[in-house]
Amino acid sequence: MASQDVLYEQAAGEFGAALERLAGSYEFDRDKCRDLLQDIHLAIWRSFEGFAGNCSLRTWVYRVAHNVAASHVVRHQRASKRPLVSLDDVDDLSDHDSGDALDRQQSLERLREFIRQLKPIERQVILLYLEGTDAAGIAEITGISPGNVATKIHRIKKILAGRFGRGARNEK
Amino acid sequence: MKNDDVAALWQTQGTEGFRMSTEEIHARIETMNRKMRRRTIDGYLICAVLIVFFIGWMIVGMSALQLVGAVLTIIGLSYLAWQLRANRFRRPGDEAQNTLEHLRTELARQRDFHRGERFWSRMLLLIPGGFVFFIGFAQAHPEVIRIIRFEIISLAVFAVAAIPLNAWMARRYQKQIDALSRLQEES
Repeated sequence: MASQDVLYEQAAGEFGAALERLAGSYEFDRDKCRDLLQDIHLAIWRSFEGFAGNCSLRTWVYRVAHNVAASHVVRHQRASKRPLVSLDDVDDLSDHDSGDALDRQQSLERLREFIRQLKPIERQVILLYLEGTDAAGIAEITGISPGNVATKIHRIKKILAGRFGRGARNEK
Repeated sequence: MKNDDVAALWQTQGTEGFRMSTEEIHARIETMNRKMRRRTIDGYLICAVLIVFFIGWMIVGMSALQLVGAVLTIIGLSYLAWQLRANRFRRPGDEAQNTLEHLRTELARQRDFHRGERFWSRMLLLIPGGFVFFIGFAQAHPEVIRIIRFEIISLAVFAVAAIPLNAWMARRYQKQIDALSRLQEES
């Protein structure tokens, strides 16, 4: 239990902020988001019982966190009114893009909204991409083949450029 | 905004600095374990109450057919409770599987609840027991035959409807599993 505590402290210190961003992208409601975050932290602590150092702490923590979040989506998808979509079904340009420059908060809200409509596995890819994880790391965490990860990242970049690039152009 | 800027925007968004102290985690884990134990005890208590109820009824005057039906129903309900409980638990180390494996395990568990051995064993243990009990009850109390007939028809409708409904649920989960498998294959 002591080693679990030590590993947890290290993980929470290094990845706490990323875990908060992850939970925020899965749950809009503040209380539900906090509950999900607590579930993630508890799952990480429990998981360290089986941590043998076969992968990096980062990979381990992200796997556990994303798995808790993915299970959360699977459990709640029946109650959800809006069906989750694939990256291939998303328009490159936002349907409510007015052409005006977006401020920081608006951009973030729009980004979260975009992420929340995706299926769990694709949500995971974009979140890991936004957290700066490279393609090999994403493949290791998600289990998606490197070729598929590359395809998905290409698609994500195209969508992000289409949705968030226009405001910047208008600012100039 | 370039893609790098979007990533930077994402990474620099404000967070609350959420942390759980190890004491808090230990307390929460203990509460969860206590709840789990409580639920298990509650399940056993419900089974015990049912058994006592049927034994009491048997002593007062239950026919042999009713008794067989009651015993089968108790076994069926206990089995259903065990299945639901077993369905909740994961193997140790599952938390840190890669997400595709994790989702596949999760979906396969849900799928298997609705098809194959797990579904049919549940049906075979629950439905015949109910029929035998109601038939025995109708024989012992012909004065309420109309109500019993309604109960038997309801049970039959439930049993017949459960088959396509569960098959549909299993197919739905299988489709999601297939979609995940495609992601593991090289494009």
